[in-house]
Amino acid sequence: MKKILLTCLMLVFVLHAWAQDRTVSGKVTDADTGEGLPGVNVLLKGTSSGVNTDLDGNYKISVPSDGGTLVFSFIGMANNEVQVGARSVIDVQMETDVQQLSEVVVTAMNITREKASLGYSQQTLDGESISKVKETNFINSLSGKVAGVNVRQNNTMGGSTNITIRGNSSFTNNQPLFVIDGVPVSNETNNSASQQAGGYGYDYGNPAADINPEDVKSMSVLKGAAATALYGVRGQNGVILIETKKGGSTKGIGISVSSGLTVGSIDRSTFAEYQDEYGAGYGAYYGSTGYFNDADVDGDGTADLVVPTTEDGSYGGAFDPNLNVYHWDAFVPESENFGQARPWVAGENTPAEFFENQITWNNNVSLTGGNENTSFRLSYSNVDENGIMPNSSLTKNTLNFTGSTKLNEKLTADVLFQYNRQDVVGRFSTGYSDNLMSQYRQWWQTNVDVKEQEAIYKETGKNYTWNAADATSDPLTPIYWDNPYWTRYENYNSDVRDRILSKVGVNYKVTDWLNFSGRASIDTYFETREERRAVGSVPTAFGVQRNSESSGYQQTDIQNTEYNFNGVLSGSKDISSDLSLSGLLGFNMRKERYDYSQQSTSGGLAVAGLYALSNSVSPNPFPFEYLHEREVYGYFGNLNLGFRNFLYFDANYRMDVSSALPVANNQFDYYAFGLGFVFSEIIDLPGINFGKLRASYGTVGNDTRALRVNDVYYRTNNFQGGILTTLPSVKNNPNLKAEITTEYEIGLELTALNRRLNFDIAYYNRETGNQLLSVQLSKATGYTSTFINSGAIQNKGFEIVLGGDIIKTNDVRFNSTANFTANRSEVLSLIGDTENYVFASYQSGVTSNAAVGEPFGVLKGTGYQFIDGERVINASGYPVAVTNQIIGDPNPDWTLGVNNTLSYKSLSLGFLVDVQKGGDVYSLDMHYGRGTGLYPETAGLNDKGNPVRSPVADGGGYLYTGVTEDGEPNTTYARADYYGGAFYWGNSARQPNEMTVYDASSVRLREASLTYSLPKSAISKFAQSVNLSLVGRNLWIIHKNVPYADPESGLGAGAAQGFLVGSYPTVRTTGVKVDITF
Amino acid sequence: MKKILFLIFTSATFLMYSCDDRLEELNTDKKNPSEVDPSTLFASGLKNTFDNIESASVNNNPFRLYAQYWAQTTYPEESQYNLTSRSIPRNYWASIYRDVLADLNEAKRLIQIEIDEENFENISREVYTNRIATIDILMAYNYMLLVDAFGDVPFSEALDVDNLTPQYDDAATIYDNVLSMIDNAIAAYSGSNAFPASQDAMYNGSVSSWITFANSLKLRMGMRLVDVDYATASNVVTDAIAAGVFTSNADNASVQYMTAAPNTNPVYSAIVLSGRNDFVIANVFAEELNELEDPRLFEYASNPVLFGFPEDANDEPVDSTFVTDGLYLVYQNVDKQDSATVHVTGSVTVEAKYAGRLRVYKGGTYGSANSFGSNAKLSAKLYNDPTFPGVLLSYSEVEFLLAEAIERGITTGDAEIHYNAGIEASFDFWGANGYEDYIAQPQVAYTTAAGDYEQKIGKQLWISLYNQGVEAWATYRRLDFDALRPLPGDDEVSVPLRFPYPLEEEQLNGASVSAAAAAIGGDNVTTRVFWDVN
Repeated sequence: MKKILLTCLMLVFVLHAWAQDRTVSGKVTDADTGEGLPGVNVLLKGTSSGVNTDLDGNYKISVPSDGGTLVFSFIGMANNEVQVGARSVIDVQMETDVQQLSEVVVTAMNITREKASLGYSQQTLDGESISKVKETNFINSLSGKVAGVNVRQNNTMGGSTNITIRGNSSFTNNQPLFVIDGVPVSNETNNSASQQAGGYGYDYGNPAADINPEDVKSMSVLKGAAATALYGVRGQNGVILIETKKGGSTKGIGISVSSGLTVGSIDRSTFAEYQDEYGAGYGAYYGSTGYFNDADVDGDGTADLVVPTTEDGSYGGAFDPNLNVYHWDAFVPESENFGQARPWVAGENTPAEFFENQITWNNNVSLTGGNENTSFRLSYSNVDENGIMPNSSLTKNTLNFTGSTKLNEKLTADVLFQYNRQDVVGRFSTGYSDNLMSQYRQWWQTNVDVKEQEAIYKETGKNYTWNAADATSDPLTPIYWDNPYWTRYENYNSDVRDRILSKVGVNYKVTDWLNFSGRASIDTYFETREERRAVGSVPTAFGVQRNSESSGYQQTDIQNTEYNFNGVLSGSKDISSDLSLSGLLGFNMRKERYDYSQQSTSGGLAVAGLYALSNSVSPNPFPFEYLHEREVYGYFGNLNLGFRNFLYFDANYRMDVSSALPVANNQFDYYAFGLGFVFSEIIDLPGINFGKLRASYGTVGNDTRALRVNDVYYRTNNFQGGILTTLPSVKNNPNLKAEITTEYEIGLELTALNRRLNFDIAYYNRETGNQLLSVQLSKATGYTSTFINSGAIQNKGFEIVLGGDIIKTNDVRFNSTANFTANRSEVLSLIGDTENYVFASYQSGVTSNAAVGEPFGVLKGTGYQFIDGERVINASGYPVAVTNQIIGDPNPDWTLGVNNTLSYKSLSLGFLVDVQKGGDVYSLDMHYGRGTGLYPETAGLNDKGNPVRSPVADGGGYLYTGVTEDGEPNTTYARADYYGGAFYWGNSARQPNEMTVYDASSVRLREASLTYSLPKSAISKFAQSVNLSLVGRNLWIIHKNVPYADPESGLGAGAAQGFLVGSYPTVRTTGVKVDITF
Repeated sequence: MKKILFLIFTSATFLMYSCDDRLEELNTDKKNPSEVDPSTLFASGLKNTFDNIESASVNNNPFRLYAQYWAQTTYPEESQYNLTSRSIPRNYWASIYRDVLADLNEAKRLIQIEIDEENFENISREVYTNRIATIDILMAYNYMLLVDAFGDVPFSEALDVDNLTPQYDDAATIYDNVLSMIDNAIAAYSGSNAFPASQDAMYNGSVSSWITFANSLKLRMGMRLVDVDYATASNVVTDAIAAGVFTSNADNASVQYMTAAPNTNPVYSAIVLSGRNDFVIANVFAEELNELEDPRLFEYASNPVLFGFPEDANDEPVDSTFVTDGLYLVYQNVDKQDSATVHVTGSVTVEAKYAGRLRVYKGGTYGSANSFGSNAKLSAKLYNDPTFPGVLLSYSEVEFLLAEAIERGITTGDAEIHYNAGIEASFDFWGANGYEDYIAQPQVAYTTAAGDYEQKIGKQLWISLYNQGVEAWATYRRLDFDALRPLPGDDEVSVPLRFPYPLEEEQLNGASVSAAAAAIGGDNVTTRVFWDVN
């Protein structure tokens, strides 16, 4: 079978046995359990010759005739070094290692180093931490598990996740670099600018989500500049190095199967609740009654009451079960209510019933095998998800192969091949657009039963909407909103991404101390996105030109390729018994090509139901296309000095040449120094097993995307036979330079109490200068914005990791690890004497800003006016608004993730509690939803016990606490009998944006798992191990302050954060998972 | 080993030092032109000038509302003069500076390079000069829009990306400069050709048409100045008239739009393609036209709504008696085709047998939310004709301005003739019938209509400027004619007298904004622009 697989993959391995002197064998067992440990790395010290133990923990390795030393290493276990001497059988017991004394970790350029020698902070996660409770986007699983890492998901199926390490360093891109086995993985989020600023669009996810958690052996998170300086122009935002699982020397083929099923449903605390006292309307504007249109529906010659279907708000007539009125379906011939008046009551099913259960199947099978010279691992994964929205599904298939072989004594070759295919149907629309969440949260009639909308759509297949422009004569023409089921089933989008990630590497051992490795890799994907709008939909901005279109088809093709060629010469030598020296010299060439083309129909579809570009009524508009190419050449070197196992010095240098910058400025360099001082080696402190102080300083950078240097013109549509061109609204800059981040970091690591307690604290201070800004310009210059190098952002903060075994007996173990992060950002300067820079503008006038002296990303909009700390209320009883105020800061004060594992014999319970303190979000949903009278607080009784929506003269209205413009306590009740009153969405004079800014603090039970390992005795006939798990994610939001939404449900990846619009409810998932190893 | 090391370092060195040209090539846009014919930029500036002035988007052009021609339905915020929620001043400002002036300025720069380098093989110096003159006239028009809306704005330091904080120039000075630009342009013209016909959608490159437009524009700008600087106004207007202004609708500064998006008339996009029902005819305008028995009402509005009859105890309609200053009643035949229109005034009783058959042009309450279904709609032409022309300056307006110039003693002639000609041109443009009867009415006839010449001309100009919201707003501010109404619940008309500066300008060019605000007497909607002296 192995042969077949290898042949299939067209890989030729030269299986070349080479002469050995003699063989040593033995068994490695876990000191705690006595069971054999599979996958332990057994290395002949000072060589690259090594093997892995088989599934029973047995190994066999050839050693020189004089023996030498064997190093046994395994993640989570203390390394063992054993002198072979004359022995031929060496059994080893390995101790669990919760301290990092001799932990070997992966650092920049995939160099493995002893953690003790590092001068900077680094955290390792094993594969299980992201594969146990799996997320479709594995980045979500990082939340709370690494200090300094901030994760914000957006709750849409397949959507992108914003991940930042040590705050935002850049105005454009703050996402870290992902590297799989040395292959950089493109993670460019190809979402439209509009989508990222809360406008129309779909979140197409971030491509790093293609990484399959089941293939991940471990992840190494490099945070600071000193850690990532070798990545130079790509190291600014931190680096996440992923090591995939590999095959080992085993007897036969090892097979692992993992299968999981999770079921999710919405967390109702993160979705709207509706008042059930008043229905459609904006006030007393309609017909003779004020709340209903008059029309003679039954033909008896008298006017009947008709619900004002045009009004997408619930500030209308009070519900009255004894009042019969004609609802939207009274005009739908196919409806059983056709021609019938029905009671004026709240819809039985609110939009909360719109959501379906999310079902996710997750299956993986992997084969591993190998001998002393060759090893491989082949895995196949399938993820199949049906989302909470009707007609939504996501399928991922991943085939992953890794193999390595020794070609001869000096030369080894390894290969990685990964193929992904992702098919998605019905992604969720986001932002302020035809997003159904903005319908449900902002513009809805509480009298509508969402299930009746479903029934009529499913029965007729037609767009019978609750929101008809003129229900009495034409129930099929919507004014603002289609039937939501029509939206999901007819106006759906779909996308397919095919991706190949491949690497070939050779390693040549020049001498026993010098090594050369060369690597060529490619990451390429082709993505096609299709957006549809069925004939009969409400017109909305659609297609390349964003004209109002009532039907249409749009196709986007993205072709992205990144090649990397790496050559590294590395050496390691002990100069004397006290001094060790290692270092490397390397070269990297990166070549990128990003080809984007978007085309659409115009003027509608000629033939209904046919989604093709040629099916356009008007001539197709010019496609929107761009081609970004970039090459970056990097030259780097590293030097490590170690003195007597307690003092380590590390120096790094890199020079980059980037084609994206002007030729005059395209060459720049970075450097870093680190110092590690293991004081516990020279001072014996009571209770302290290990102690290290570390300090480092480094620089990293960031270039820019291609085509920001030279100016061009854009073609626009021909008019009256004329050819039109225009200046772009963005001015390019021929003097751009690279961004430079400089950072210093100090830290302390302690292991104490018999290695049961670990403590790590880091303080960092990073400053990004030469900041590449897309600055807004006074449009009197003729441009909207330009790119410049200016400004500086500072991020400083603490990261603390504290954990250990609280209980550790033979049967019971309770381990808890807390990751604490507190980051403070400050914008130090901008261009010249500019004090403020707007980098995103949202609906309702709220903006995301970089303001000098303020944290990055503060929200500005209309704020309250204050007199002596009291809010000023105007003569009509409304809060007074002041324009251009800072109304919120989206950056949390601190975050804390507490990871716990409680195990009893073969039973293990894990749970993660995530805490965020502080940070603000502005909710556009509340801004409009209160104005349209959807929420319970806009109805009911006021503090006088009268209906708040009654006229003020009748004792109604709402009393805002505050003072009048004269400073006297406010006693004026604001009218709340129409949408423009007490809960109105405001204007420049009253009801400031600040009214719907909320504290984003939260405490949540992020994930939990209960795992039972079946006893070996019960399964030994057919399997090595069987684990059964119950898993759950997003189980419980224990505390939050944002009403009806999850404060984390942002816009997806991007610099603009802290804005809630049309946000999706959080999905609470529970499921079962079976892992079997044969 | 030596071989390998050698290979690595030689290849690295090679890659490093041989590739600057290659790197530059990689960073060159392969999908967009780096050089273009300046006439394409001019065509874009011209198209965008029209799109801005014709736009019916509440995001940047609320002026049909401010003139109280239209009322809004569900969301009446812009008709209540809410300027900030949608950042209207910012968008209007950007539509002119960035979308129009930047392209025109670039076209001018590129042509100037050709002239300076004397590249006259294909195009003569004369034609190049004519093109620059044409660009200057169009730029002058756009600067006038900016001053009329904001007062002091960047002019002398505008359109320079190396100056991120352009100073704001005095509004009156800009007017002077703009008038000089126009004069210089007129003087610079020679021969008959400017831009290629296909690139000039307004006048097909005809120099004489542009000169007539330039003079008509001078007439408009001169009359703007009449209350603030009579002497200059007088000179400018006299010059313009002497040189020749529009003499028929054929001279209108207008373009015909096209049938398909994005080249339809912007109003068509806003009211038809959008599928939204945001606007109805405003009661202020509909009632005025009803009262004046103005047959243009049938062109300016459509879809009259059912005339309501009171009902008796059995829900049967009864005869309806009502008092009206004047109202068109449209009798609808059984086939639902309009078959007769009568204008009624005073106390009138309509028999119940007509219930369901009579319709009226009822407008939505200006400044309030309105039901779309129970009010008359906008012009059928706007609904039905995506190619409906956009107008920068019309012959009709020119005639009214001439009438006013006579009244003000700037020029001589018979004001009534010009007044009538202005009305007639408007009737012709909209295809309305009954001009002769209309002007014969005492409340319309120049000699008998109410008020002084400012009132008479102001009101009729307002009616004639329907769909030209920007100019209607300027006319209201200049002549203060008595037609617009306060918002519901208010006592006084509160139409903004200017746009406040874009909030974004305060953030990006704060010192200049502060200086300008101080110079004009406060950055408020109630501050008058310099020519609006009362």
